[in-house]
Amino acid sequence: MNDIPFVLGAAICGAVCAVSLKKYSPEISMLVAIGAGIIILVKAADGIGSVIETVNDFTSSAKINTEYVSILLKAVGIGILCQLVSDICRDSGQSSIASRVELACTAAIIINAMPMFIGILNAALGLISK
Amino acid sequence: MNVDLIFKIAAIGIIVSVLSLVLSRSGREEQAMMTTLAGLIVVLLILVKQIAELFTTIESLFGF
Repeated sequence: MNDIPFVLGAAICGAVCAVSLKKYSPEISMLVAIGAGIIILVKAADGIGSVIETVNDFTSSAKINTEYVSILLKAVGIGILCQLVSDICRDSGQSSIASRVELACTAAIIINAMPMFIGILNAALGLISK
Repeated sequence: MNVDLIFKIAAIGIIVSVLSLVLSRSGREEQAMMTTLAGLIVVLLILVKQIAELFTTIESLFGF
């Protein structure tokens, strides 16, 4: 909760600088927006780190299969990064590139979660065949 | 990795645009274009370092 002021301040400064630079040099104003987004995401990553540690503690103590949790975390990581990039592309007006990036992210997450599907299917088949 | 990165990039942007404006007014169109490209490259180099740091943080965090 302690880095919220930093995040808000960085976002407002980034937005103001990006808009003020728009008239002079559009490329660098877009880069200012990207820089602000990256700074905020890295600061948010620290907060997410503590959440992940608690999740890992619970799963290891409750002896839940940690493989599924790692798949879940990987999917969240992929989602965060791809959302950042596709929003940057959309801001710069390239909505076609943004949708390609989102398609690639969905494919990556599905591939990442494939072992989980197989595990569930085997469990279901095991129940049916009994 | 704090707010002054934003202001550094904005300052570079303003300087580059003023320089290219002055150069283009004084008739040197090519140099104005070169100045804009140079500013862009400098900002991109700064930003690439931040992006690399972001990716290593996210990878170490989410166990890629």
